[in-house]
Amino acid sequence: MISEDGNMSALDREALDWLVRLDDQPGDEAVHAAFEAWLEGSPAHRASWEAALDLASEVETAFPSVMVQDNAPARDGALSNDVIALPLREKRARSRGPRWGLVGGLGLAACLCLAVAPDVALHLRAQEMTGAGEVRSLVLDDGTQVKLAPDSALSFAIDGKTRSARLLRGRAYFDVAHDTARPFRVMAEDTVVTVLGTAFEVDGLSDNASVAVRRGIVAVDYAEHGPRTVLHRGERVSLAAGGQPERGMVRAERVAGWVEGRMFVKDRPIGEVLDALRPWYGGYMVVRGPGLATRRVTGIYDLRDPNAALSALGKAHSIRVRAITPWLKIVTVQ
Amino acid sequence: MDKPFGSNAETDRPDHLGVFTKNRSALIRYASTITGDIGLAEDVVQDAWTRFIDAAEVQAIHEPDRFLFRIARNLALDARRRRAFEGRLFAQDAADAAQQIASDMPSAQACAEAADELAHIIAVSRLPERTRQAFLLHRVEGLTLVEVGTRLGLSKSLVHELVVSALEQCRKARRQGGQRR
Repeated sequence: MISEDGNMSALDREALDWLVRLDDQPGDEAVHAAFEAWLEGSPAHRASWEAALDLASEVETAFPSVMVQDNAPARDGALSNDVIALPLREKRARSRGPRWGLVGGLGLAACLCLAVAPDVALHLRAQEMTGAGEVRSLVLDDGTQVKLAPDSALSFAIDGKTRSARLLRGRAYFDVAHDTARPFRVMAEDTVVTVLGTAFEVDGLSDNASVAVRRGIVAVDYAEHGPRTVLHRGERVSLAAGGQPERGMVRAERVAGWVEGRMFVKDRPIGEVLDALRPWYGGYMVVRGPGLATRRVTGIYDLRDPNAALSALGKAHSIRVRAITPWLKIVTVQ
Repeated sequence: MDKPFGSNAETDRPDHLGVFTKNRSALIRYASTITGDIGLAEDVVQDAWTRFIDAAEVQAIHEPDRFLFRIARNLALDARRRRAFEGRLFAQDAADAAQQIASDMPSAQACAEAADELAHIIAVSRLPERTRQAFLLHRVEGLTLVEVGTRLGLSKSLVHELVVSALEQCRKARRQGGQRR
Protein backbone atom coordinates (compact mmCIF):
# COMPACT_ATOMS: atom_id res chain seq x y z
CA MET A 1 0.00 0.00 0.00
CA ILE A 2 1.07 3.51 -0.59
CA SER A 3 1.28 5.66 2.47
CA GLU A 4 -0.35 9.04 2.57
CA ASP A 5 2.83 10.94 1.89
CA GLY A 6 3.21 9.15 -1.42
CA ASN A 7 6.21 7.09 -0.48
CA MET A 8 6.18 3.44 -1.21
CA SER A 9 6.53 1.09 1.65
CA ALA A 10 9.18 -1.60 1.68
CA LEU A 11 6.42 -4.11 1.02
CA ASP A 12 5.31 -2.27 -2.09
CA ARG A 13 8.80 -2.39 -3.35
CA GLU A 14 9.02 -6.10 -2.61
CA ALA A 15 5.77 -6.67 -4.46
CA LEU A 16 7.14 -4.98 -7.57
CA ASP A 17 10.22 -7.09 -7.19
CA TRP A 18 8.09 -10.22 -7.28
CA LEU A 19 6.12 -8.93 -10.22
CA VAL A 20 9.27 -8.57 -12.27
CA ARG A 21 10.70 -11.86 -11.12
CA LEU A 22 7.55 -13.84 -11.86
CA ASP A 23 7.20 -12.22 -15.27
CA ASP A 24 10.76 -13.15 -16.01
CA GLN A 25 10.50 -16.77 -14.91
CA PRO A 26 6.82 -17.59 -14.91
CA GLY A 27 7.42 -21.33 -14.99
CA ASP A 28 10.05 -21.55 -12.28
CA GLU A 29 8.91 -23.63 -9.32
CA ALA A 30 11.40 -22.26 -6.83
CA VAL A 31 10.39 -18.70 -7.66
CA HIS A 32 6.75 -19.60 -7.19
CA ALA A 33 7.34 -21.33 -3.88
CA ALA A 34 9.27 -18.37 -2.52
CA PHE A 35 6.63 -15.99 -3.80
CA GLU A 36 3.80 -17.91 -2.19
CA ALA A 37 5.64 -17.92 1.13
CA TRP A 38 6.07 -14.18 0.84
CA LEU A 39 2.44 -13.61 -0.07
CA GLU A 40 1.22 -15.55 2.95
CA GLY A 41 3.35 -13.39 5.22
CA SER A 42 0.53 -11.04 6.22
CA PRO A 43 -2.56 -9.32 4.83
CA ALA A 44 -0.33 -6.33 4.15
CA HIS A 45 1.76 -8.43 1.80
CA ARG A 46 -1.36 -9.35 -0.08
CA ALA A 47 -2.50 -5.74 -0.28
CA SER A 48 0.85 -4.67 -1.68
CA TRP A 49 0.64 -7.46 -4.22
CA GLU A 50 -2.82 -6.35 -5.34
CA ALA A 51 -1.51 -2.82 -5.76
CA ALA A 52 1.37 -4.15 -7.86
CA LEU A 53 -1.13 -6.01 -10.06
CA ASP A 54 -3.18 -2.83 -10.49
CA LEU A 55 -0.05 -1.15 -11.74
CA ALA A 56 0.73 -4.09 -14.03
CA SER A 57 -2.73 -3.73 -15.56
CA GLU A 58 -2.21 -0.08 -16.28
CA VAL A 59 1.23 -0.64 -17.73
CA GLU A 60 -0.16 -3.39 -19.95
CA THR A 61 -2.83 -1.02 -21.22
CA ALA A 62 -0.27 1.66 -21.86
CA PHE A 63 2.31 -0.63 -23.41
CA PRO A 64 0.77 -3.82 -24.65
CA SER A 65 3.40 -6.48 -25.03
CA VAL A 66 4.51 -7.03 -28.56
CA MET A 67 4.77 -10.75 -28.75
CA VAL A 68 3.14 -10.62 -32.12
CA GLN A 69 5.69 -13.04 -33.48
CA ASP A 70 5.17 -11.47 -36.89
CA ASN A 71 7.10 -13.30 -39.49
CA ALA A 72 10.69 -13.07 -38.53
CA PRO A 73 11.86 -14.09 -35.13
CA ALA A 74 12.93 -10.76 -33.75
CA ARG A 75 15.41 -12.53 -31.58
CA ASP A 76 17.35 -14.27 -34.28
CA GLY A 77 20.94 -13.54 -35.05
CA ALA A 78 21.91 -10.29 -36.60
CA LEU A 79 18.42 -8.91 -36.63
CA SER A 80 18.11 -8.91 -32.92
CA ASN A 81 20.47 -6.03 -32.52
CA ASP A 82 18.60 -3.98 -35.02
CA VAL A 83 15.32 -4.24 -33.25
CA ILE A 84 16.18 -1.78 -30.61
CA ALA A 85 19.42 -0.27 -31.76
CA LEU A 86 18.72 3.30 -30.89
CA PRO A 87 22.04 4.50 -32.21
CA LEU A 88 22.84 3.50 -35.74
CA ARG A 89 24.94 0.42 -35.89
CA GLU A 90 27.36 1.46 -38.48
CA LYS A 91 27.32 4.26 -40.90
CA ARG A 92 29.09 4.24 -44.17
CA ALA A 93 29.33 6.90 -46.78
CA ARG A 94 25.87 8.10 -47.51
CA SER A 95 26.57 8.43 -51.18
CA ARG A 96 29.55 7.84 -53.31
CA GLY A 97 30.64 9.21 -56.59
CA PRO A 98 28.27 12.00 -57.42
CA ARG A 99 29.71 15.44 -57.95
CA TRP A 100 29.40 17.96 -55.25
CA GLY A 101 26.72 20.50 -55.20
CA LEU A 102 27.21 24.19 -55.53
CA VAL A 103 27.28 25.29 -51.97
CA GLY A 104 29.79 28.06 -51.74
CA GLY A 105 30.15 30.50 -48.94
CA LEU A 106 32.75 32.30 -47.06
CA GLY A 107 32.47 30.48 -43.80
CA LEU A 108 33.40 27.01 -42.83
CA ALA A 109 30.98 24.33 -41.84
CA ALA A 110 31.12 20.65 -41.12
CA CYS A 111 29.11 18.12 -39.29
CA LEU A 112 30.29 15.48 -36.89
CA CYS A 113 28.26 12.55 -35.79
CA LEU A 114 29.18 10.11 -33.05
CA ALA A 115 27.49 7.19 -31.58
CA VAL A 116 27.76 7.35 -27.90
CA ALA A 117 25.96 4.87 -25.77
CA PRO A 118 23.11 6.18 -23.67
CA ASP A 119 24.48 7.40 -20.43
CA VAL A 120 22.66 8.00 -17.21
CA ALA A 121 25.18 10.60 -16.11
CA LEU A 122 24.81 12.55 -19.30
CA HIS A 123 22.63 15.20 -17.74
CA LEU A 124 25.40 16.04 -15.35
CA ARG A 125 27.91 16.79 -18.04
CA ALA A 126 25.93 18.13 -20.93
CA GLN A 127 25.35 21.82 -21.28
CA GLU A 128 22.93 21.39 -24.10
CA MET A 129 20.66 18.42 -24.72
CA THR A 130 17.92 17.90 -27.22
CA GLY A 131 14.93 15.61 -27.01
CA ALA A 132 12.98 13.76 -29.66
CA GLY A 133 12.35 15.72 -32.84
CA GLU A 134 14.12 18.78 -31.61
CA VAL A 135 16.91 20.62 -33.42
CA ARG A 136 18.55 23.30 -31.33
CA SER A 137 20.55 26.22 -32.68
CA LEU A 138 23.35 27.50 -30.49
CA VAL A 139 25.73 30.40 -30.91
CA LEU A 140 28.86 29.97 -28.83
CA ASP A 141 30.73 32.92 -27.36
CA ASP A 142 33.18 33.02 -30.23
CA GLY A 143 30.41 33.27 -32.80
CA THR A 144 30.53 29.61 -33.80
CA GLN A 145 27.12 28.32 -34.74
CA VAL A 146 26.06 24.86 -33.72
CA LYS A 147 23.00 22.87 -34.67
CA LEU A 148 22.31 20.01 -32.32
CA ALA A 149 20.31 17.13 -33.80
CA PRO A 150 17.46 15.43 -31.92
CA ASP A 151 18.42 13.25 -29.00
CA SER A 152 21.93 14.69 -28.80
CA ALA A 153 24.06 16.22 -26.09
CA LEU A 154 26.95 18.65 -26.20
CA SER A 155 29.29 20.37 -23.80
CA PHE A 156 31.71 23.12 -24.76
CA ALA A 157 34.44 25.36 -23.37
CA ILE A 158 35.50 28.61 -24.96
CA ASP A 159 38.21 30.70 -23.35
CA GLY A 160 40.92 33.12 -24.39
CA LYS A 161 43.24 30.42 -25.65
CA THR A 162 41.26 27.47 -26.79
CA ARG A 163 37.88 26.52 -28.14
CA SER A 164 36.58 23.04 -27.67
CA ALA A 165 33.34 21.12 -27.70
CA ARG A 166 32.53 17.56 -26.77
CA LEU A 167 29.73 15.69 -28.43
CA LEU A 168 28.37 13.40 -25.73
CA ARG A 169 25.67 11.82 -27.81
CA GLY A 170 24.03 12.08 -31.19
CA ARG A 171 25.10 14.45 -33.89
CA ALA A 172 25.86 18.08 -34.36
CA TYR A 173 26.67 20.48 -37.13
CA PHE A 174 29.29 23.17 -36.57
CA ASP A 175 29.78 26.36 -38.51
CA VAL A 176 33.00 27.51 -36.93
CA ALA A 177 33.91 31.16 -36.58
CA HIS A 178 37.27 31.88 -38.14
CA ASP A 179 40.00 32.42 -35.56
CA THR A 180 43.48 31.09 -36.35
CA ALA A 181 44.78 31.98 -32.91
CA ARG A 182 42.35 29.64 -31.19
CA PRO A 183 41.93 26.32 -32.96
CA PHE A 184 38.52 24.77 -32.59
CA ARG A 185 38.40 21.13 -31.53
CA VAL A 186 35.50 18.78 -31.29
CA MET A 187 35.86 15.59 -29.35
CA ALA A 188 33.60 12.61 -29.65
CA GLU A 189 34.62 9.61 -27.63
CA ASP A 190 38.17 8.94 -28.76
CA THR A 191 37.93 11.01 -31.88
CA VAL A 192 39.30 14.51 -32.11
CA VAL A 193 38.35 16.80 -34.93
CA THR A 194 40.50 19.86 -35.34
CA VAL A 195 39.04 22.58 -37.42
CA LEU A 196 41.38 24.20 -39.80
CA GLY A 197 38.56 26.50 -40.76
CA THR A 198 35.22 24.95 -41.52
CA ALA A 199 31.62 23.93 -41.36
CA PHE A 200 31.18 20.25 -40.64
CA GLU A 201 29.04 17.55 -39.12
CA VAL A 202 30.01 15.16 -36.39
CA ASP A 203 27.88 12.07 -36.16
CA GLY A 204 28.04 10.19 -32.94
CA LEU A 205 25.37 7.73 -33.87
CA SER A 206 27.75 5.18 -35.26
CA ASP A 207 30.19 3.33 -33.08
CA ASN A 208 32.85 5.83 -33.86
CA ALA A 209 32.50 9.40 -34.86
CA SER A 210 31.98 10.08 -38.49
CA VAL A 211 32.76 13.50 -39.87
CA ALA A 212 31.54 15.16 -43.05
CA VAL A 213 32.61 18.54 -44.31
CA ARG A 214 30.38 21.09 -45.91
CA ARG A 215 32.90 23.91 -46.22
CA GLY A 216 36.56 24.32 -45.39
CA ILE A 217 39.08 21.84 -44.04
CA VAL A 218 39.20 19.69 -40.92
CA ALA A 219 41.66 17.17 -39.53
CA VAL A 220 40.31 14.01 -37.91
CA ASP A 221 42.30 11.94 -35.44
CA TYR A 222 40.90 8.62 -34.39
CA ALA A 223 42.73 7.83 -31.19
CA GLU A 224 44.24 4.47 -31.97
CA HIS A 225 43.75 4.23 -35.65
CA GLY A 226 46.66 5.50 -37.59
CA PRO A 227 47.42 8.80 -39.12
CA ARG A 228 45.32 11.91 -39.18
CA THR A 229 42.82 12.26 -41.97
CA VAL A 230 42.43 15.65 -43.57
CA LEU A 231 39.04 16.31 -45.10
CA HIS A 232 38.00 18.93 -47.60
CA ARG A 233 34.60 20.03 -48.76
CA GLY A 234 32.35 17.14 -49.69
CA GLU A 235 34.47 14.53 -47.97
CA ARG A 236 33.62 12.33 -45.08
CA VAL A 237 35.36 9.78 -42.93
CA SER A 238 34.30 7.08 -40.51
CA LEU A 239 35.92 4.01 -39.10
CA ALA A 240 35.46 0.92 -41.24
CA ALA A 241 34.73 -2.44 -39.66
CA GLY A 242 38.44 -3.25 -39.60
CA GLY A 243 39.13 -0.15 -37.55
CA GLN A 244 40.75 1.81 -40.31
CA PRO A 245 39.52 5.24 -41.31
CA GLU A 246 37.41 4.97 -44.44
CA ARG A 247 37.02 8.02 -46.60
CA GLY A 248 34.09 8.74 -48.79
CA MET A 249 32.42 11.49 -50.72
CA VAL A 250 29.18 13.19 -49.92
CA ARG A 251 27.37 15.98 -51.69
CA ALA A 252 28.42 18.98 -49.69
CA GLU A 253 24.97 20.55 -49.55
CA ARG A 254 23.65 17.31 -48.17
CA VAL A 255 25.93 17.28 -45.17
CA ALA A 256 23.71 17.59 -42.14
CA GLY A 257 20.50 17.63 -44.13
CA TRP A 258 18.68 17.15 -40.83
CA VAL A 259 19.39 20.78 -40.00
CA GLU A 260 16.61 21.53 -42.45
CA GLY A 261 14.66 18.51 -41.31
CA ARG A 262 15.45 16.43 -44.36
CA MET A 263 17.20 13.13 -44.75
CA PHE A 264 18.87 12.22 -47.99
CA VAL A 265 19.23 8.52 -48.50
CA LYS A 266 20.85 6.78 -51.39
CA ASP A 267 20.80 3.01 -51.54
CA ARG A 268 20.92 2.35 -47.80
CA PRO A 269 19.35 -0.54 -45.90
CA ILE A 270 15.89 0.34 -44.70
CA GLY A 271 16.86 -0.57 -41.12
CA GLU A 272 19.37 2.23 -41.13
CA VAL A 273 16.77 4.69 -42.36
CA LEU A 274 14.33 3.62 -39.66
CA ASP A 275 17.04 4.04 -37.05
CA ALA A 276 17.71 7.52 -38.30
CA LEU A 277 14.01 8.33 -37.93
CA ARG A 278 13.89 7.25 -34.30
CA PRO A 279 15.25 10.40 -32.72
CA TRP A 280 12.55 12.34 -34.52
CA TYR A 281 9.71 10.20 -33.35
CA GLY A 282 8.41 11.13 -29.93
CA GLY A 283 7.57 7.59 -28.91
CA TYR A 284 8.92 4.10 -29.00
CA MET A 285 9.39 2.26 -32.22
CA VAL A 286 9.87 -1.48 -32.48
CA VAL A 287 11.46 -2.36 -35.81
CA ARG A 288 11.53 -5.93 -37.00
CA GLY A 289 11.29 -8.21 -39.98
CA PRO A 290 13.53 -10.02 -42.44
CA GLY A 291 13.84 -7.08 -44.83
CA LEU A 292 15.59 -4.70 -42.42
CA ALA A 293 19.08 -5.38 -43.66
CA THR A 294 18.29 -6.44 -47.20
CA ARG A 295 15.76 -3.90 -48.46
CA ARG A 296 17.49 -0.83 -49.74
CA VAL A 297 16.11 2.63 -49.95
CA THR A 298 16.75 5.78 -51.93
CA GLY A 299 14.87 8.97 -51.29
CA ILE A 300 14.45 12.21 -49.43
CA TYR A 301 12.47 12.01 -46.25
CA ASP A 302 10.91 14.63 -44.06
CA LEU A 303 12.32 14.04 -40.60
CA ARG A 304 10.00 16.54 -38.99
CA ASP A 305 7.09 14.34 -39.90
CA PRO A 306 8.20 10.79 -39.09
CA ASN A 307 4.71 9.44 -39.77
CA ALA A 308 4.78 10.84 -43.28
CA ALA A 309 8.28 9.48 -43.75
CA LEU A 310 7.09 6.05 -42.65
CA SER A 311 4.16 6.08 -45.02
CA ALA A 312 6.46 7.26 -47.84
CA LEU A 313 8.67 4.27 -47.09
CA GLY A 314 5.60 2.09 -47.04
CA LYS A 315 4.58 3.13 -50.54
CA ALA A 316 7.78 1.88 -52.09
CA HIS A 317 8.43 -1.07 -49.84
CA SER A 318 6.59 -3.80 -48.16
CA ILE A 319 6.45 -2.42 -44.66
CA ARG A 320 3.63 -2.53 -42.20
CA VAL A 321 3.19 -0.01 -39.44
CA ARG A 322 0.99 -0.80 -36.49
CA ALA A 323 0.28 1.97 -34.01
CA ILE A 324 -0.41 0.34 -30.67
CA THR A 325 -0.77 3.53 -28.72
CA PRO A 326 0.17 7.04 -29.78
CA TRP A 327 3.59 6.28 -28.32
CA LEU A 328 4.24 2.82 -29.56
CA LYS A 329 4.65 1.74 -33.14
CA ILE A 330 5.67 -1.59 -34.59
CA VAL A 331 7.27 -1.41 -37.99
CA THR A 332 7.58 -4.70 -39.84
CA VAL A 333 9.71 -4.92 -42.94
CA GLN A 334 8.92 -7.94 -45.07
CA MET B 1 -10.61 -27.69 -28.75
CA ASP B 2 -11.53 -29.54 -31.90
CA LYS B 3 -8.21 -29.00 -33.57
CA PRO B 4 -6.33 -32.00 -34.87
CA PHE B 5 -3.96 -32.35 -31.96
CA GLY B 6 -2.80 -35.79 -32.91
CA SER B 7 -1.69 -34.84 -36.38
CA ASN B 8 1.65 -33.40 -35.39
CA ALA B 9 3.60 -36.50 -36.17
CA GLU B 10 2.53 -36.63 -39.78
CA THR B 11 3.37 -33.00 -40.53
CA ASP B 12 6.21 -30.63 -39.81
CA ARG B 13 4.17 -28.83 -37.25
CA PRO B 14 5.82 -28.40 -33.93
CA ASP B 15 4.35 -30.25 -31.00
CA HIS B 16 2.40 -27.40 -29.45
CA LEU B 17 0.10 -29.65 -27.52
CA GLY B 18 3.12 -31.24 -25.90
CA VAL B 19 4.38 -27.83 -24.87
CA PHE B 20 1.01 -26.97 -23.43
CA THR B 21 0.62 -30.24 -21.55
CA LYS B 22 4.07 -29.96 -20.09
CA ASN B 23 3.44 -26.40 -18.88
CA ARG B 24 -0.21 -26.59 -17.96
CA SER B 25 0.14 -26.81 -14.19
CA ALA B 26 2.87 -24.16 -14.17
CA LEU B 27 0.61 -21.92 -16.26
CA ILE B 28 -2.24 -22.35 -13.79
CA ARG B 29 0.03 -21.63 -10.89
CA TYR B 30 1.30 -18.50 -12.60
CA ALA B 31 -2.15 -17.27 -13.62
CA SER B 32 -3.42 -17.75 -10.10
CA THR B 33 -0.79 -15.38 -8.74
CA ILE B 34 -2.74 -12.77 -10.69
CA THR B 35 -6.31 -13.97 -10.34
CA GLY B 36 -5.82 -15.10 -6.75
CA ASP B 37 -8.15 -17.99 -7.51
CA ILE B 38 -7.33 -21.42 -8.93
CA GLY B 39 -10.70 -21.90 -10.65
CA LEU B 40 -10.44 -18.66 -12.51
CA ALA B 41 -6.81 -19.42 -13.33
CA GLU B 42 -7.83 -22.73 -14.92
CA ASP B 43 -10.33 -20.94 -17.13
CA VAL B 44 -7.73 -18.41 -18.08
CA VAL B 45 -5.23 -21.09 -19.05
CA GLN B 46 -7.81 -22.95 -21.13
CA ASP B 47 -8.61 -19.71 -22.89
CA ALA B 48 -4.91 -19.05 -23.39
CA TRP B 49 -4.52 -22.39 -25.13
CA THR B 50 -7.36 -21.74 -27.60
CA ARG B 51 -5.87 -18.37 -28.41
CA PHE B 52 -2.50 -19.93 -28.79
CA ILE B 53 -3.65 -22.47 -31.37
CA ASP B 54 -5.55 -19.75 -33.23
CA ALA B 55 -2.32 -17.78 -33.44
CA ALA B 56 -0.38 -20.88 -34.46
CA GLU B 57 -2.74 -21.36 -37.40
CA VAL B 58 -1.57 -18.17 -39.04
CA GLN B 59 2.01 -17.79 -37.93
CA ALA B 60 5.02 -19.66 -36.72
CA ILE B 61 5.41 -19.48 -32.96
CA HIS B 62 9.04 -19.23 -32.11
CA GLU B 63 9.09 -19.61 -28.38
CA PRO B 64 5.86 -21.41 -27.65
CA ASP B 65 6.27 -21.67 -23.90
CA ARG B 66 7.14 -18.06 -23.42
CA PHE B 67 4.31 -17.06 -25.72
CA LEU B 68 1.85 -19.18 -23.75
CA PHE B 69 2.88 -17.64 -20.45
CA ARG B 70 2.54 -14.20 -21.95
CA ILE B 71 -0.96 -14.84 -23.25
CA ALA B 72 -1.96 -16.35 -19.90
CA ARG B 73 -0.62 -13.33 -18.09
CA ASN B 74 -2.60 -10.87 -20.16
CA LEU B 75 -5.79 -12.88 -19.93
CA ALA B 76 -5.34 -13.22 -16.18
CA LEU B 77 -4.94 -9.45 -15.82
CA ASP B 78 -8.12 -9.00 -17.89
CA ALA B 79 -10.01 -11.51 -15.79
CA ARG B 80 -8.87 -9.86 -12.60
CA ARG B 81 -9.98 -6.45 -13.82
CA ARG B 82 -13.34 -7.78 -14.92
CA ARG B 83 -13.92 -9.51 -11.64
CA ALA B 84 -13.05 -6.37 -9.67
CA PHE B 85 -15.61 -4.48 -11.72
CA GLU B 86 -18.30 -7.12 -11.24
CA GLY B 87 -17.46 -7.36 -7.57
CA ARG B 88 -18.14 -3.70 -7.10
CA LEU B 89 -21.33 -4.03 -9.06
CA PHE B 90 -22.79 -6.96 -7.15
CA ALA B 91 -21.84 -5.57 -3.79
CA GLN B 92 -24.41 -2.89 -4.28
CA ASP B 93 -28.16 -3.07 -3.92
CA ALA B 94 -29.95 -3.38 -7.20
CA ALA B 95 -31.14 0.16 -6.74
CA ASP B 96 -27.60 1.40 -6.51
CA ALA B 97 -26.40 -0.66 -9.43
CA ALA B 98 -27.44 1.73 -12.13
CA GLN B 99 -25.72 4.56 -10.38
CA GLN B 100 -22.68 2.38 -9.92
CA ILE B 101 -22.51 1.69 -13.62
CA ALA B 102 -22.81 5.34 -14.35
CA SER B 103 -20.06 6.22 -11.93
CA ASP B 104 -17.86 3.49 -13.32
CA MET B 105 -17.88 5.08 -16.73
CA PRO B 106 -15.70 7.99 -15.72
CA SER B 107 -13.39 5.60 -13.90
CA ALA B 108 -12.92 3.56 -17.09
CA GLN B 109 -12.16 6.85 -18.75
CA ALA B 110 -9.75 7.70 -15.96
CA CYS B 111 -8.04 4.34 -16.41
CA ALA B 112 -7.48 4.97 -20.09
CA GLU B 113 -6.14 8.40 -19.27
CA ALA B 114 -3.84 6.93 -16.68
CA ALA B 115 -2.51 4.45 -19.20
CA ASP B 116 -2.02 7.26 -21.64
CA GLU B 117 -0.11 9.21 -19.07
CA LEU B 118 2.09 6.23 -18.28
CA ALA B 119 2.87 5.69 -21.93
CA HIS B 120 3.85 9.28 -22.15
CA ILE B 121 6.11 9.15 -19.12
CA ILE B 122 7.90 6.11 -20.40
CA ALA B 123 8.07 6.80 -24.09
CA VAL B 124 8.95 10.42 -23.90
CA SER B 125 11.66 9.56 -21.47
CA ARG B 126 11.25 11.28 -18.22
CA LEU B 127 13.01 8.12 -17.19
CA PRO B 128 16.78 7.85 -17.47
CA GLU B 129 17.65 6.39 -20.84
CA ARG B 130 19.03 3.11 -19.57
CA THR B 131 16.06 2.53 -17.31
CA ARG B 132 13.71 3.29 -20.14
CA GLN B 133 15.40 0.90 -22.51
CA ALA B 134 15.57 -1.90 -19.98
CA PHE B 135 11.92 -1.45 -19.15
CA LEU B 136 10.71 -1.36 -22.74
CA LEU B 137 12.80 -4.32 -23.84
CA HIS B 138 11.50 -6.38 -20.96
CA ARG B 139 7.95 -5.16 -20.91
CA VAL B 140 7.10 -4.50 -24.55
CA GLU B 141 9.42 -6.77 -26.46
CA GLY B 142 9.13 -9.55 -23.93
CA LEU B 143 12.84 -10.25 -23.53
CA THR B 144 13.98 -12.00 -20.38
CA LEU B 145 16.09 -10.03 -17.92
CA VAL B 146 19.14 -11.97 -19.07
CA GLU B 147 18.44 -11.13 -22.70
CA VAL B 148 17.95 -7.48 -21.87
CA GLY B 149 21.25 -7.56 -20.00
CA THR B 150 23.03 -9.04 -22.98
CA ARG B 151 21.55 -6.41 -25.26
CA LEU B 152 22.52 -3.52 -23.03
CA GLY B 153 25.72 -4.92 -21.62
CA LEU B 154 24.39 -5.03 -18.05
CA SER B 155 24.09 -7.71 -15.40
CA LYS B 156 20.80 -9.44 -14.83
CA SER B 157 20.49 -8.03 -11.33
CA LEU B 158 21.05 -4.49 -12.56
CA VAL B 159 18.42 -4.94 -15.27
CA HIS B 160 16.05 -6.21 -12.58
CA GLU B 161 16.74 -3.08 -10.53
CA LEU B 162 16.14 -0.83 -13.52
CA VAL B 163 12.83 -2.45 -14.40
CA VAL B 164 11.59 -2.25 -10.81
CA SER B 165 12.66 1.37 -10.59
CA ALA B 166 10.77 2.14 -13.82
CA LEU B 167 7.66 0.63 -12.26
CA GLU B 168 8.18 2.69 -9.12
CA GLN B 169 8.42 5.84 -11.21
CA CYS B 170 5.23 4.89 -12.98
CA ARG B 171 3.43 4.43 -9.72
CA LYS B 172 4.72 7.68 -8.34
CA ALA B 173 3.63 9.52 -11.45
CA ARG B 174 0.25 7.82 -11.36
CA ARG B 175 -0.26 8.84 -7.80
CA GLN B 176 0.57 12.45 -8.50
CA GLY B 177 -1.79 12.30 -11.45
CA GLY B 178 -4.47 10.94 -9.15
CA GLN B 179 -4.04 13.80 -6.75
CA ARG B 180 -4.55 16.29 -9.57
CA ARG B 181 -7.83 14.75 -10.52
